[in-house]
Order: sequence, then C-alpha cells, then structure tokens
Amino acid sequence: MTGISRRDLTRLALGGSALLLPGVAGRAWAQAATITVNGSGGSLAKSLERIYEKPFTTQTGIGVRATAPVSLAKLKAMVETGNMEWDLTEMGGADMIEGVKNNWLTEIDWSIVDPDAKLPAIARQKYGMVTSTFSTVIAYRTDKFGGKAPKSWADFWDLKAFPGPRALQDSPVQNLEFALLADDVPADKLYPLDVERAFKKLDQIKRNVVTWWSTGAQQVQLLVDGEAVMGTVWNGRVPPLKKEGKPVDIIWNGGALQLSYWAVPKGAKHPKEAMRYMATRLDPVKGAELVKDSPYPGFAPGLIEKLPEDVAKMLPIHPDNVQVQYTFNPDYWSEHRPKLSERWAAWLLA
Amino acid sequence: MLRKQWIAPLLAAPLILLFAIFFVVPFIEIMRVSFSGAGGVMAGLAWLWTSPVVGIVFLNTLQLALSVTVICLVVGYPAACFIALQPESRRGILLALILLPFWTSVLVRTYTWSVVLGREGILNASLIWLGLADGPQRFMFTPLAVHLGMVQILLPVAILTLVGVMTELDAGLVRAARVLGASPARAFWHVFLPMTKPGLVAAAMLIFILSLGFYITPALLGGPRHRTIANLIDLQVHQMNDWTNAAAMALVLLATTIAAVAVLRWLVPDRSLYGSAR
Repeated sequence: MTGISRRDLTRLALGGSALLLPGVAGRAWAQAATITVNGSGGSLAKSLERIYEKPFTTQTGIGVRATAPVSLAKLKAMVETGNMEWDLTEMGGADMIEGVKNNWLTEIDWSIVDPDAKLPAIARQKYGMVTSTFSTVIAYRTDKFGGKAPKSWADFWDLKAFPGPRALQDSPVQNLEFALLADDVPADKLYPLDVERAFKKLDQIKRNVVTWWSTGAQQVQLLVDGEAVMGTVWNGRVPPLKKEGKPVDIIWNGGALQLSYWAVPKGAKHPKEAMRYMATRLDPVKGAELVKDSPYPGFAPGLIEKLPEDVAKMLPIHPDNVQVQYTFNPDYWSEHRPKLSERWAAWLLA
Repeated sequence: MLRKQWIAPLLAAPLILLFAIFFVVPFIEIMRVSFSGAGGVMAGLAWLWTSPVVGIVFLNTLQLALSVTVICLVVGYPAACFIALQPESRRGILLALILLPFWTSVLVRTYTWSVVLGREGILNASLIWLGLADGPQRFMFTPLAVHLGMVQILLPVAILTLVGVMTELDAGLVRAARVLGASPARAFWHVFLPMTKPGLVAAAMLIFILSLGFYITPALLGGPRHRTIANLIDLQVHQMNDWTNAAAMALVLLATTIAAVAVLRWLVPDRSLYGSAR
C-alpha cells in the first residue's frame, strides 16, 4: 500500500496554490494595468519619470513603462502586424497627419482627458493632444563674429558680414521656408511654398554648408567643435550648453514653431488608462517643473505664469518669441514631401 | 553510426536553422508587407528606374565600396605578410593589437575621427603649429574622411583573412624558388602572391560586401555625395514612410551582393577559396 493516496496529493496541490494565490491576486488588484508610453528617451525620460510617471502610478496603481524612440515606421509596423506594444506615443506634426490619414490612431475620449475643456482648442484634436511645442531656430557661435550677432535668416545667408561654415538639416522640410524667409518673403505668406525661388536661394549658400545634419546630437556637436559657426538646432539643445559656458546662442527670429503630440495607437491594449495618464499633462505645476529641465512647453493652462521670466523667455510659446517665428505647416509637407524630398536629394547630389 | 555523407549537413544544420528563422523568414515577411501596397513590386522597381537619385547613389555606393576594398587590400597585405612572418608567440600579440579596435563600437570610432580631422581638431592644430598651414584645412566631410573612417573599420577584416592564408602556406616553396635562383621579387610575384590569391579574394569579397551596407560612417564623415544605398533605404523607411521603395532598394542591394559573390567565385574556383591553401 502506498502511504499517500491520490486524494491527499490533490489536497496538497490545492493547498499549495492557495498559499501562492494571495500574492498573485494582491498584485493584480494593486496594479490594474501597466501602460507603455513611447517617447524620445534621453535625459528627458528621467524628468518625465520623476514628475509624471511615478506620481501617477502611486495615485492610480497603473504602472507606466517608458520606451523610445519615436518612430512612425515602428507605429506602422505594429499596426499592420496587429502587434501593438504602445498604449501612448509621442508624434510630430507631419507624423500625426500620416497617422490620421492611414487610420493608425484611436480617437481621444476628451471626457476622460480634459472633461472641463481647460486646454485651448489647438491642443484638443480628434486623434491627439498637444503635449509640447518646439522650434527649429538658428544657433550661432558668439565668439566668431567679432562681437556682432546675426539677427535673421538674411544674416545666415550673408557670408560677408558673418563668414564661416554653415550646417543645415538634410531635408527640404523647413529649409525651403528658411530660404524664402532669407529672400524676404513675409512669414505669413510662406505657404504654399515658392519652391523654385527657395531652391534658387539655397544655391547661393550650398557651397558654404559644410554638412547636412541628420540627428539631433549632430546639430550642437558641429557648433561646439567649430565645424560650423552657424546652423539650425532644436531650441532645447542650446540652453544646457549656455549653462556650461559654451559660446553659443539662438535667434528666435524666423524659427519654425512646431507642435508635438500624444496619440493612442490603434489596437492599444489599455486606451482608457492611457487617456487617464494623458490628463496629467494638464497640471501647470508639473508642466512648470518639466519646462525647467526641457524647454518644450505644452498648453497646460496657467503654465507661463508659473515660471520666472528668464525661464519663460527661453520658451517657443513666450509671446515675444511667438511673434517672430513662423508657424510650421505640416499639412503642406504631408502632401508635398515625397516629391520635394526627391528633388532635394537630387539637388544635393548635383 | 552516421553515414559519412550526413555529417556535413548535420554540422551545418544549426547555422542553416538560425539563418532560416532570423533572416529568411523575416526577409520574406518584410518583402510581402512592403510589396502588398498598390502596384506591388513593379511600383517599387519602376521608382528605382525613374528616380533621379537612386542611380547616382547606387553608383556612388559601388565606387566607395570598391575604393575602400582596394585600399584595405593594399594596406593590409604588407601588414599581414609582416605578421605571418613573425614567430608564433609574437604573432598572437600583433593579432590582438589588430583586434582591439575591431571590438570597439563603430559609432565611437567614427566620432573619434571628427576629433582628429575637425577644423579645430588635432590634425589642423598640428599643421598650423608646424607652420604647414595658414588656417584650418577642411578634412571632415571629404572623401579622405570617409575613406579613413571605413578603412580603419574594415582593415582588420583584411589583415585577419590574409594572415590566416599566409600562415597556412608552405614556406618551403618560396625557399625552393630562391634556392633555384629566383630573385626575392620574382619569388614573391611567381610563388608567394599566387598562393595567397584565395586570401585576397576572400578578403576582397568580405570587405566589398560589408562596405556596400555602410551607413553611419559615410553619413557622419562624408558629404552628400557619400550617401549610400543604406542611407536612402533609411530615408524611405523613416522619413518617407514608403516601404515599397525601401524594399525595392533592399532587393537591389541583395542582388548586388549575390552578384559580387558570384563574380569572385568565378574568379577563384571554390576549392581553393574554402579549403586550405596547402
């Protein structure tokens, strides 16, 4: 006879799992879900974790997992293979249009995100919420022009008054606008672009552009290394360098003011939780704290008023800066980009 | 006991399986997704034909790969000779020195060149200090920078491949040629060099194929003329969102690689390429 019957064994097994169960059940209750939020990573990710993600998890029990980088190609791949990893993703303006056009996004339930309609209309779109604003601006070396400072795109083109190598992005997007601004086209009359005129103007400076950058890290590296004395950068890249004492500064005049969004991809596993998380971006106190680390403010109501003047002045949406920039038109580029990119590439090779 | 004819396929099986799962299947899947749009394969190929850019970039890529291959072989051959002639203990140390940079990230090594070649870099500072230049010379974003960057990355491949072949050679044959009255130059041209031909071809093939896919180095060190097919594929995938065009270009790149292998195998019949040189 065996010492243990089958029934004993079953009871033993049940007892064992009963011991394990409270642990499992407890965790499932405390953390209803974990949402995956895709962003641009880098040092910004650390600020986001401290200011937004951790407090949100403490408050709601919803975990937040951050991934990077922002990539429309990845979004497309995930939607088309039905393998959606993200619940929320950052998107640029032109990407947003592509995303809506191709039906890759979920409509935002504004009754969850912003029930009292505190955000301005521009930030409340059908498929996305504006989380930040940024600008492509001219940056220059303050030590290379004998105390003179360039003030406009016309100065960028003026190789006599401001000699030295230039750096621009390897893309027609915005560069055509910049060329037209240098050619005295008023900022509110840019679109639709006079492409012929823009390329003709670009011909004048082509030889003096030593390199055409393709990544964000390159833009400032080229300036700091002295490879270029003037070039385009995203506005947030320069303040940290100035703080380190590097001789660089930016010009807001003629900058390209752009919007960056948060959107919920089609097929996201936790859209409701993601939208609850989106709502945290309405808090102006958190927004003010984030802006101190990264000068890319959103439209949280009352944000600018919470900031000291010297910080506010470094933001693309400071009234003084808004006045001198032009508003980038992603619709135009969404429509014309393939053709113009082809022409751009051929122009560079010629 | 295993039959003898089964041993070779069995030994290769893990590799074939790995390639099937991680290369062939994803490759076919990507091609299927990319060409499922309007027009399919023909739309992609038609674009290759009509684009004003693709042809030029393709030729530039081939030219770059070819010149890098030639430089690697010319620079690598004497170095490999030198290493192969050393006693075994010293050879190990020398090979370790060659391998050291090989294990360093390509991105890091590419950025390092900008420290050397930049306007305010080490080379310019030295030239100005020595009085050899009045002001900063332009080295970055030139053919020189791209070739330096790529050759430095690929040279270990040339040297390692050549040393492998050279140490396998029967040194007695060179000695025999000398004993029979051949001058050192003649012994080299008629005995040593022909015996290393499989190594040269293998190294050329590897370097050429690797160069075809280069991406970061030309983008960071070169100008617009050094954009490669890989850069164009990236542009289509990440900026233009056009996978059909990207996949069409990838197909052409793959076809070019296969063609390169075919040509080289035709130049050197396979036994001597893969077997020992002895």
